[in-house]
Amino acid sequence: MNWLPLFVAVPLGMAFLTPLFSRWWKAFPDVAGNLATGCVMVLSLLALPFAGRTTVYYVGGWEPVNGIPIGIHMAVDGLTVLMLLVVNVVAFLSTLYSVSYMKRYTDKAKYTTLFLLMVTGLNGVVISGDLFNIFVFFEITAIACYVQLNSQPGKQLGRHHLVGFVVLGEQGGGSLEFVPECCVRSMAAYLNMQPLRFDDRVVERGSGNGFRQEYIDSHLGAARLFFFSGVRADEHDGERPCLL
Amino acid sequence: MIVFTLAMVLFLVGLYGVLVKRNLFKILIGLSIIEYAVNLIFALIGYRQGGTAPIRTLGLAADTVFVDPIPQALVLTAIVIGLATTALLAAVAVRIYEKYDTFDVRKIRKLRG
Repeated sequence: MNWLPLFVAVPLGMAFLTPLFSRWWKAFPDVAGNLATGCVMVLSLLALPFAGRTTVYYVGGWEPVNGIPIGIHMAVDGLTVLMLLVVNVVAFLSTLYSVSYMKRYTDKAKYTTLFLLMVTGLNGVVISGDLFNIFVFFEITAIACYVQLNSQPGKQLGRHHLVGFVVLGEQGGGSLEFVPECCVRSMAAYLNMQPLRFDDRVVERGSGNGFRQEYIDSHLGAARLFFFSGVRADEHDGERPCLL
Repeated sequence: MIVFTLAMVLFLVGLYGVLVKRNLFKILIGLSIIEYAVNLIFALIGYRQGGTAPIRTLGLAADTVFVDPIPQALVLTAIVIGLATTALLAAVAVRIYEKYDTFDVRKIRKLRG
């Protein structure tokens, strides 16, 4: 599955091309947005046959040495395919709808760039095979969301709401997600999730110290819960800041 | 172990700033302290007693101990991401001040506009 990095590369590439070419071609943000999300949606449909097994792609060909991973890897299994399908179908429908809906938006190129960066981050979170890259892609998504919220037209989403979102998001993404990574790192010599699950050292130490895989999973879950509670707090009341 | 405890204390100081302070910039400073506390814990995990910088050079003794380079690389990435978020939040705080003429989050809550 050599085309797995395209889930990240296509929207990321289009995100950088959009501000460059939209100066000369006004319709470029719409075309680029729909093209990129359409491409990744088709790719996620093509990934459906891979749902029955785990497929791993080693970035740069850095394969594990003596079972210990030395590079970055991306992985696809049944849940990943489902998540990719959900993310990319929703992203494609959103860009399609935004062609007319976002006409009132002052700078469509900026909107499309941020939206594609968000899709890049979400796809990266889904296909990433190691904990640290999940953190990096999660932050890409978060920062794109923050800037997108800050640029909303009208007054339905104020900047004070954004502060609440950032505080909750950074608590979750920046801190709660990093703590289990520290624990994993102290137990194993790598952060790659797939071999980690079968690593005897982690299982043994986990039984002794209470650092089980479930502990790591629950921490990551809590981190995401914090991030998305920030989104909910933002949506909860359009007039008053909820966290503040 | 003492250094880990101190890093945890630093984390709690940041958490105190985020939860208790009213000034937007103090909340921002609290967030930064939390980030640095977590980064510090990560860097400490990679530390080796008597370890040197993980750079291979000619004439290096076979029993040389290196510090773990991966946590350092990860922390560097986390610092860059943290800087981006801090800059964004500072810019938002300045815009809030321009609009409401205050950094006090409780006063901002009472104001509409």
